[in-house]
Amino acid sequence: MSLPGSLAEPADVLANPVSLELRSALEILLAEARRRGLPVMCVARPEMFTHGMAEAWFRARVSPLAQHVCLSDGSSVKHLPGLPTHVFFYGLMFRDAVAALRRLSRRAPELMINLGSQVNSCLTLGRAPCRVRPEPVLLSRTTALRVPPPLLLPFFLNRDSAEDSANRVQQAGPVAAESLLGFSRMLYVPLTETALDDGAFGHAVTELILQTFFDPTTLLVLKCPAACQVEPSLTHGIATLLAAVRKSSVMLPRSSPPNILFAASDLEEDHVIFDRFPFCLVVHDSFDFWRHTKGFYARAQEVTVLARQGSATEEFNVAAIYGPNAVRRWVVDPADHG
Amino acid sequence: MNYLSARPKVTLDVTPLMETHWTGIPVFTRRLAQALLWHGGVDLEFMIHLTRVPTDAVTAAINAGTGVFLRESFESQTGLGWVVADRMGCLLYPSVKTGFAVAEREASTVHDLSTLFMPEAHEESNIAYHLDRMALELATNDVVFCISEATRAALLSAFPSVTGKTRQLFQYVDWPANFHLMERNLPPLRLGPYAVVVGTIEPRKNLRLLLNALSTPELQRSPLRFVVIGRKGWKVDQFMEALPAEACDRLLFSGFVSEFTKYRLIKGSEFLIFPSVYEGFGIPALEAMALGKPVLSSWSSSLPEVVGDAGVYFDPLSVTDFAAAFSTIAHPRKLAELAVVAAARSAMFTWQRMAAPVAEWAGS
Repeated sequence: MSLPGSLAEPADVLANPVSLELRSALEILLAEARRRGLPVMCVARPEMFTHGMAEAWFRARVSPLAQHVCLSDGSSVKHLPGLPTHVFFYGLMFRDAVAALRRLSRRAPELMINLGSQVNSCLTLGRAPCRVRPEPVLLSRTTALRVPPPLLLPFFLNRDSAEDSANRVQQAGPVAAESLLGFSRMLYVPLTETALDDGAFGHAVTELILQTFFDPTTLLVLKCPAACQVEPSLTHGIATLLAAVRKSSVMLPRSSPPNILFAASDLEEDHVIFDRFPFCLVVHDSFDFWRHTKGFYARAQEVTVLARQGSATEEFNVAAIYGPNAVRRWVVDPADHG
Repeated sequence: MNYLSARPKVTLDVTPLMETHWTGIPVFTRRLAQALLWHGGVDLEFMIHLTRVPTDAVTAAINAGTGVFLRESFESQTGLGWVVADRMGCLLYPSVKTGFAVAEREASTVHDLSTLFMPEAHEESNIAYHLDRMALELATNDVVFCISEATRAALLSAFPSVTGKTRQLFQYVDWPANFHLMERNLPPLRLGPYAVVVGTIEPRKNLRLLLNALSTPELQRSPLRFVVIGRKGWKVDQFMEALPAEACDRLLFSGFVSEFTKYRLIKGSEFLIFPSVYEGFGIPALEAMALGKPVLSSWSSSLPEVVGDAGVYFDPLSVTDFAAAFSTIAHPRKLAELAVVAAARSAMFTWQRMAAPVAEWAGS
């Protein structure tokens, strides 16, 4: 990242090719700060300002600041001396980030003790006897991310090979959103690595795919899960889905129905496909809801949040996040029941 | 306490001394061993992998300046000749602890928390080595030695429960007295005026800042070249390949050099540049200061604590700030002024100061 120094304006950070997740998280915080009339400064490498002269140098330059929000990918949580620290884990849709955070909690169980709050997560952090759950604070985007519509690709799964599946999907070529006709509704399921690692969600999604095979009036769009710090890859996305399908006891037909599609990246509310059909959204309870505006969810006829009982976000009020059309549906992993 | 001695017994883990080339932790271990031997306030024994090692084997290694013979000697033992380290008394690790709750009282030394706060600058195996058992290490420690106040502050931000256990263990510099004479008998270095950078070349050391600053007017006007002393670390090959050709003209990479060559290169320099974004202590700064060399240092972690008034500081993420600080320190009058301060400040870091907290702990 190219910055003018260890202290930078948010615009300096956003001028860099940062990930969509980090960009989105920063924009959410900026919007919230604007709403509260607070100035914002970005600090690169806060770990440098441990104490003494280094801390004094830092303080002399940020003296109006009163709060510190650590934007974390899960691999570390950094504090700034003398400032209350809050944390925003912006990468929890990625398997690597979740694993990194789990390792961090194990390795430095006391690191999270003094966190003031956690933005857009509801995690219990650390390890007994230092387990804490910083107060969750829910913040959403106020404006949609401006990204081009994703490639829509035909669905095909060869149960034995993600590579072959991806090759066949790519050979078939993209499907134009404008060419999609005759569906009474669209189901959009943004898949993530974290969601598919939950066997209960994977099973529910596999069942949903199977049902859609036999329901030609419904268009099912599955967003391929991306990997952390890697260019989005169809093979990776299909491999992640395939692993969940295999784990499930459900068998899917080996064919490519016209009403099931892959989306190579996220759909956003200004994409034309949402104007064509009434749509419903199906998400895992770990879904990074904060990457869409409340307006996006309001357009959905229904938002179904799939969760297993006892999950970290169980006490989240889904209506507060996704609006009045949201329902939580409990799902179970058949593997848990022998 | 050993009943046969009035002095408290301390067993020092000298496993790091088995390295062939001593930098970093092995040098710290060597200095700590020497400081405690000179201090004499503790009944000192040595161990490797919880096995007692004869003192003369350790002092021989220290005199040789390498762990080759110590390692061979240790590895050739059948297990009959040496015995397990004494459980009684104090067991001191100069770095990461490798045995837990085996002695009456245990202490280990935390050098820095970069694996926790800068994990992207480390390989996962190194992070695991330092952090996987850190909570257990701290919990089973009687005392946790930190090599700087910066490290202590970082440690306490991550492990507040050890607040009452921490002690500082400052290093000292001990250039061999004969280096001065050896150097006088050699022809002068023909490198022209130069500044020196010391340390393993790796991302955390932030050498890229210097490279980026080479195109600034301040550095372009300067006649100085830049000598980089240190072995290649993680990711360095990618880094070197990315160097522009014009940068190579003003940079000289020495690779790993002997202590004497390092001494000569620092002694012949105008000042030391320390652009690191994170340090546990920053011993090269103290080594340069001991030779009367000021430090162009980043405002980061332990460096201001070590360098004090003997340097000029910059933001390690700002090329313009670095260039401005470079202009300030490169002025002959400023260099002369800081050289005096540097030598005086380095004298504050003594072997007595390093040994005292250990002796105090052992005697408490």
